[in-house]
Amino acid sequence: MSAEGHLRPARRADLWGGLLFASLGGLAVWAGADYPLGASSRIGPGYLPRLLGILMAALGAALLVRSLWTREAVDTAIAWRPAALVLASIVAFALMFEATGLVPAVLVSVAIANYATPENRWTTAIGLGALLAFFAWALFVKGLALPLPVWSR
Amino acid sequence: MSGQLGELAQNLLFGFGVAVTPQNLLFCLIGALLGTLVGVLPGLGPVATIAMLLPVTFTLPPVAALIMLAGLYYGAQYGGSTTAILVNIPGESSSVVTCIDGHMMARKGRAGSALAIAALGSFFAGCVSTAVVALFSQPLVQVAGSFQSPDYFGLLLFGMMAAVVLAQGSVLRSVAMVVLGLFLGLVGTDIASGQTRFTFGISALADGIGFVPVAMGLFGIAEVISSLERGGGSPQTIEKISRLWPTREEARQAWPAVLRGTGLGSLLGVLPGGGALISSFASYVLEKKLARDPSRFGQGAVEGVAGPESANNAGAQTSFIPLLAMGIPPNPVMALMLGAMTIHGIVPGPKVMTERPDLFWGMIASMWLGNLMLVVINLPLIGVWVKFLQIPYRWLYSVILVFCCIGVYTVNNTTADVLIMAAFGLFGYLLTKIRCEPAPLILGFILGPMLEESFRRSLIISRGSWWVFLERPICLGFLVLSLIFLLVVLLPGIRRGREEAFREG
Repeated sequence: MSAEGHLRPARRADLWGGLLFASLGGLAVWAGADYPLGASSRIGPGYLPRLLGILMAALGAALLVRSLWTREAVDTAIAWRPAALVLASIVAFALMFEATGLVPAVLVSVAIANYATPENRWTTAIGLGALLAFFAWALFVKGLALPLPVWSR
Repeated sequence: MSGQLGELAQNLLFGFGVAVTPQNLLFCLIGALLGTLVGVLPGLGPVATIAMLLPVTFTLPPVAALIMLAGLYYGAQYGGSTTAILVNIPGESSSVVTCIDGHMMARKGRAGSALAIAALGSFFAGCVSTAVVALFSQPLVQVAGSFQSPDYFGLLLFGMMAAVVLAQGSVLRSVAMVVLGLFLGLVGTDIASGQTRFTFGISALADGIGFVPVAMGLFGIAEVISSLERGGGSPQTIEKISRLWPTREEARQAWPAVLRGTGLGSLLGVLPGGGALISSFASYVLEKKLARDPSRFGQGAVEGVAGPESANNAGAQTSFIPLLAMGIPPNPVMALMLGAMTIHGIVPGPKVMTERPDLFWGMIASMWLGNLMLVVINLPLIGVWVKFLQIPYRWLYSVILVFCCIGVYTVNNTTADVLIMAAFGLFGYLLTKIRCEPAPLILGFILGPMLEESFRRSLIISRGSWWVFLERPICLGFLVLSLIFLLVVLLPGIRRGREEAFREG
């Protein structure tokens, strides 16, 4: 909360928050425009979403106004490598799991996640992947008897 | 009064009967062990772990499952202090403040007494707060039984307000996060009309967005990305443990702080948005304020360990009260407990106590046993946990990711949930970048459908008049309280105090 000094608008937390909530609120009102509001004695499916959308947009607008004088800074550096590889490994798991089964999905997702940090080598990818695939099989399929595909159905 | 106490004793005896069956004792121990492990390992929190364990609980009887999950939450409060004291990294977010004085004590060669004070303080707090849960749930259940829809609406609103006040950072942004959470909770098919809302034609969203993928994304995946960004949490140097017993002087300093921490934690745990985290922060500030010589804090003050460590365990345990008595989860961990109960076909709320007394009293009794186990697990066996601290994070995060994926998949057997988890992981990471706390969002998300239902019913009762919320005294009381909370947090003096509370550490 550094109140002193100049802070570029692009680094102000309230500006980003304001933009986020104003646009999400607007989106909510727009996307929910067709849902019936109902009468107030019997509210329809659109009533509360509309109310919340307007409230969210108003809060976003208030944050935007407030960003003119607040000086709380955001961290604009994004850790692209871990973010991209962690997400890619989860998406790979989701796409593979039902098609190939547990073991290949675990091996591939560990192999992708492995490189999220530069300290890991390909040996950790294989070693850790094999260990985790075995452990997951032993715990969930053998131990808990959950109906999961192991290799493919 | 004596009749009530007799009944309470009878209920507790019955609860112990449930808790000491070999199976329940075993799962209480497993929960305590896992909780300590989760607490010791930085970058792995109770929310993500409980979500990962949900598939394990499918095959268990509900009582054993809930005993294990409860043990995991309060067990994490014990384990978190070990890492904080020995390596100056909070093993758990609720032990952030323990780092300050706990690690300083360790640097001065008093690691053993810091660990002992933390564990014994936690044990005392655990025993007292379990008694609080046992004593206060029953009257609350009776009160909740007389609630009507407008009263529930008022209570929910008050709960969200409290969550905002207790959240870290800007109040306005926290309010917006609650509203966003409420909104996300409404996505899916409207129960009353059958209309699908905000699904954008995606069939996986027709049943709404699941709580587990959202919680795991926001708290599990986002945390993995943030930890990797900080260069992993693998400890550099682990302080040596000398003598595992506080001196007479240290014990004398610790006792009053333990008592105050227990009281404060028990109180803050019950509030919506409360729990272990806020209790530890508040206790640290209180101890510093009360100290005759505040400059000792940061230099290894015993009270700075004893207070917060007692408070976080007390808060973790009393946060079960609103869940068990009213069916309202005050924090994300309790929301997962609610999820676990629902999986087993139990509807949390006033009826649990009468319909499933074995579950209610069994869980309370297990808390006592679990706390006893935890002291043994954490003091004589401390060396084992230090070994776990040496696992490098660059191995650990892959394990977390794989178990999150499998855990989320098995809840509904759909890969769509895995993708939703990934999306919320990214969203959560970006939210922390722009300084928006995810905790109020998740609370709004859980309470959204409940809020809509009570709102709808209230307006049906009143034939559309909003005055109904002001006419019923209980509801009016909650609304006035919410307003007072909001005003108080906006007052300059209190506001500074609140910022100070969160800036420690």
